[in-house]
Amino acid sequence: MIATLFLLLLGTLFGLLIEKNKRIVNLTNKLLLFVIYLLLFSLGISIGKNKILIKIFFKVGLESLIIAMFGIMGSAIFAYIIQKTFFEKK
Amino acid sequence: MKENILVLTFFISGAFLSYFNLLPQIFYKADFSKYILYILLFLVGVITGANKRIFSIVKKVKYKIIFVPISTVLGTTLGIFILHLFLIRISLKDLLAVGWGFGYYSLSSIIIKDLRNDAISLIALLSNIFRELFTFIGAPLLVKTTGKLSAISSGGATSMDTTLPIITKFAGEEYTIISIFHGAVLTILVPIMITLLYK
Repeated sequence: MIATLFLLLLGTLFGLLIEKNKRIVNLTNKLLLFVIYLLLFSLGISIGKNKILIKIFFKVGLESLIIAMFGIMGSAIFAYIIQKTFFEKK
Repeated sequence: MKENILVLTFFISGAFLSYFNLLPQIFYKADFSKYILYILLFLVGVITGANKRIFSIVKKVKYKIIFVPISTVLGTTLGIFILHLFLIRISLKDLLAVGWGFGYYSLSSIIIKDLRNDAISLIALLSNIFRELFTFIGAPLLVKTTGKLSAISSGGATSMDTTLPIITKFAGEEYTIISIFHGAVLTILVPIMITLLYK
């Protein structure tokens, strides 16, 4: 928890410092994408190791889809209320 | 979109190689994901800090902009609570962790793997990819039925980068600033909220 917050904060401070240096910012964006690929590869490895998980992949896939849909529906309803109350009241 | 396919390719090839034991022994013993996560968190901070637009947006647009990310958090949470009445196989805490990924599949799945387990991490990965994909496909429909803000809301943390073009296209350019701000707030909230949930 503390490590998470610390790294986010440290990164933000560093980002504020290098904000004017376009080359470093572009490099960071590329590096971020590379780290995400690396991360997903390692996530794949740890899930592939778990043979039981591979067996229930499609069941889990369906549940994942349902969770996403409920999250989106709830958000959309709240966004609709905010839109009507604050953004279209003239 | 191209990046999504690449990300999935990396994930699938990792799973394939490890399932059929095609990797050097070290990959089975050591787990590097925690260190990769730390690098990722730092980089997310750098990108946010270096994005001058985010700070100027907050100053320029009136206070009401803050209601947009708040409504996404509350709305997603409400949706998960309702789902919890039907989907009882997964605990409410785990459902919330998945939902609070807000489309940010790479970061949320790796944090959940670190704090919880592989199974919930896989659900977080897939569910949040679905959230991003649905926003791509469903943005026009959302704009028509529940309004322009709902497309932003659906995009979650991705409304500042990957789904921004589609949101701008269907909700209009005046919503670009709101969309970037919304995505930035949620990007920072994802690691904080999920970590707090499991502590």
